[in-house]
Amino acid sequence: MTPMTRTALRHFSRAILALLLLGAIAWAESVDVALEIANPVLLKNQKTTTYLRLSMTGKEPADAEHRAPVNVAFVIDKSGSMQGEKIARAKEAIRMAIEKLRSDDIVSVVAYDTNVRVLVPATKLTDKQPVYSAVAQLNADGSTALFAGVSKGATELRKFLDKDRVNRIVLLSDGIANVGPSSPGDLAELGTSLGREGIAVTTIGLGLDYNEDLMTKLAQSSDGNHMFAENAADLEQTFMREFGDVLTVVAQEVKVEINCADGVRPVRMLGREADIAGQKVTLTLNQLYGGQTKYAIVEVEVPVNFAADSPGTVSDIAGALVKYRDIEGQSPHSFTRMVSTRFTDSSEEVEKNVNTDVMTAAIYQIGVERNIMAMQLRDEGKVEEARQALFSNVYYLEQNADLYGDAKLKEEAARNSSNAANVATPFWGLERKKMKADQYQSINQQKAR
Amino acid sequence: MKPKLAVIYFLIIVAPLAAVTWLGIVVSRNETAMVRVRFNELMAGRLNDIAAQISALLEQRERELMAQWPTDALTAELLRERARSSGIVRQYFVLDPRGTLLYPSPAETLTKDEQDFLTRTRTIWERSEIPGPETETQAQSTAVQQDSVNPITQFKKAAPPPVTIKGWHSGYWGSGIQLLFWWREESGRLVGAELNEVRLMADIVGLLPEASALPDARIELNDSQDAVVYQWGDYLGTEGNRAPVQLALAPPLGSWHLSYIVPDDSQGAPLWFGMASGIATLALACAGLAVYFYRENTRALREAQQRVTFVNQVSHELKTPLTNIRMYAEVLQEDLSETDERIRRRLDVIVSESQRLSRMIGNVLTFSRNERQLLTLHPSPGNAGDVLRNVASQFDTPLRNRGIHIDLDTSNCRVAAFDRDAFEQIAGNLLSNVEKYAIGGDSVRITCKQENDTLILEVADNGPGIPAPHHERIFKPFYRVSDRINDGVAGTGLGLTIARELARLHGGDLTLEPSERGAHFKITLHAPIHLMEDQS
Repeated sequence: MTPMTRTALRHFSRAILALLLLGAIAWAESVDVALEIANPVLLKNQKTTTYLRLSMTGKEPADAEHRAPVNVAFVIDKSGSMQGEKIARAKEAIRMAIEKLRSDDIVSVVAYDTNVRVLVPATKLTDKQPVYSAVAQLNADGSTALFAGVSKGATELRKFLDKDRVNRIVLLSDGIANVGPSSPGDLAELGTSLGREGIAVTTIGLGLDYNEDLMTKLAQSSDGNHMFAENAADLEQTFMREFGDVLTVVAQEVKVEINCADGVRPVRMLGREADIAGQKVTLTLNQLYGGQTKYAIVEVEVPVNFAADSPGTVSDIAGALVKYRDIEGQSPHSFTRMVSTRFTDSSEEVEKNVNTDVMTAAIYQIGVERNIMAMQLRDEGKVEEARQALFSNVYYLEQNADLYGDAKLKEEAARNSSNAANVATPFWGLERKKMKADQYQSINQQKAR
Repeated sequence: MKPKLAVIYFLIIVAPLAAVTWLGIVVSRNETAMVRVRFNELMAGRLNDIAAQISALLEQRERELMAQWPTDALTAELLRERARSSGIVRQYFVLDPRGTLLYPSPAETLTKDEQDFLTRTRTIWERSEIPGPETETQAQSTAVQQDSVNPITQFKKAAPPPVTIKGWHSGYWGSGIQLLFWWREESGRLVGAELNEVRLMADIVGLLPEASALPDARIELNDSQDAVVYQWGDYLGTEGNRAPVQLALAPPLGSWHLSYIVPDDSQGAPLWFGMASGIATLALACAGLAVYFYRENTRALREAQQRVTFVNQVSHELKTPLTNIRMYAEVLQEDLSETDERIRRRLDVIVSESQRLSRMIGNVLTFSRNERQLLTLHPSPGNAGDVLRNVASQFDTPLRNRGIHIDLDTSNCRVAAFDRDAFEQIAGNLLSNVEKYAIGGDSVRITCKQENDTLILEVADNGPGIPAPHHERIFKPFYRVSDRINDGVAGTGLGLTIARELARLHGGDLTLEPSERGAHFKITLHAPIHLMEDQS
């Protein structure tokens, strides 16, 4: 770190303190922000690893009709494998989604097989009928130019790209991309790039043949959703669930900065990709949904001799700055939060004061990480190692579930043990997709409410 | 006759067909080549347009990057934040005028993204590939060119326009391309950005037409590994003509290319089809023509055959009464030998004309028999001289009337075996010709001699002779030398034909001998000498 940035940081933390002292000005905010620490009381004179949790909760909108306009591009895989019921269901799902939209919303429909066709160029939904008839003409054949489909969808979205809208690509595919760039890495790059532009890509995997790594990467990197519809009959429900989310977006361009106090080392962020430079952890979220909470959990290391020698000292551990655009207020908002710990000599006191909510959330994310690692082992063909990893994860989760009396950890342990049981079944393809979708939901705290 | 005809018909059909086919192939080959050239030009034009669009996108990127570059104090923090919020740029970088990397500097604490960037670009900094010397001058010259387009700047002599030195660096990282754009600031510092290549690809895809833009072909954008980045057009076949036209994109995407793919049969097929059907039609027409000619020909032959049969029958019918007339006329001639000279002369005319008529009938019948291959000879011993004298006496009066004297030499004749009727017919025909054609001559020399088993008869007149072009043709049936002298002379055109046929049938020949004046015919017959008769 240059001396320059270090000074800047010091100034910054002072500014945060000043703001805190002035007290938060009470606005009718659509997002609640809280910064907590797993150990509000820490042993002094001991190097400790603990967790910070920043939670951002979108408030439920007052009424369903009152929402931000959306700009959505439906990108539909119409390759040969979609023939029959799948394409029929997909068409019906899009139709239902469009029915939910208002006349000031913008919609475009792109279909791809080997080639890409823009069925409905981005238009305001003043008349829904032409859109319905264009969608009705869809029929399936050919290969899968997923990359080109998403690219074209993005081009359509850009025609009306607006920070005050919810800009969203909804990708529906049942296959493996085989024309154009098709590695999960490439699609992750594309997703990241689109996400930075304010475009989220929601991916819906249909059936058992799609490439879940690619679909989740694309969704994750652009901060969209990923869902798995096991069969065509589930599609409409899945689609509408996701679409309901789109319609409840309350904040966009959420930028999070967590500044750790000098000496406190941010190790990593659990479950999310974040930038860590020196004391600063940066994270961007595309949007927050009404009635949903998103977390950023940071593992930090508090060094020995961090606090002053006398017991009972309270020290600042970190401050968080959250900026976002309110979808209704349309102006940038920002919050600052600070978190501090008291230092003690008694380990009993430390244990008594643990914030179980934060701690179990961190454990939960670690459990998910282990689940992902186990899946990697399984992907490498190490079935037995994968099973072992899952069992040890079950043990880890159950122990902590008992320790903190947490039902969610118990549930997660049960799921891991079911994963372990299925790791060698012939239905691994299905199991893997389920696991992947679960991991995705867990990481992004997008579990259905 | 028949196989020859078949060959002719075959030629009538095959020769024009072959000629037309060959011509068609040549024309169509030229046509195809020309169409292909024109097609390729058209395609190249289209691909050029597309490549220009892509280049324009890159230029736009350049302008945006340079325009958005912060003019105020640069901090690592600012650049980091910018890269983090940009979908287009992956990482910014700053070099001091000597080419040392200032940001992201390996000496400082870096984020993971920055560390990854350094890993990706290490070789570039180690080898000082930025700024490349060539790109610099190139960029300079384009900057100057752009300036000269704007005359106002030059006219006002304002401050010299800043020459922007800029350039691209493209390399490979992993399976993808790595694109870095850099330019030199006025301060001499070199700044630049690594583009997000996947995003660039997506933007290029967004720029290019969609499927329906190309109904019967396909355009592919291929990356350096020939993998399809994007394609459009409704032709999806893989067989097809693999990229008759390829166009590499301009740098920095020089390793990418555009390919135009068309179905193999999209050019030329209708032409071939048209040509094939044309040839088939022609073949039908030729065959029809041949069939028509064949039928015409056989009908003519049949008709001729019928005519010959008719003449033959008539001749046969005429023969009997004529023989009677001739016989009684000759008897009467003997009876009235002492009477009035006038009556005798009239009787002579009757006899000689009836003799002539019977010769003609004889010729017709012989010819007809020969045609039907029924002609047979019956040699018997006799002296050719006797026969000749008899024939000569028949022509005595008509020739004398024309002022032609017969000079007959039979001194070397001997008794031999030959067909008397055939010999008589031959001699009669030759003398008849003399009577008809030797006008102006005053004598005909007839020589007969026996040489071993061959009987040789020579008839030479001193009339106008036969013009050289007709020498061989006179032996063909119904052929008559037509000139002013002969016009009006009656004849069937069978005399010499029959004479030659008979001679050949008789193991000899009839030839026209070269002579200074008049016609000189020579007949040879196979006639073995009859020893017994000769001795008696």
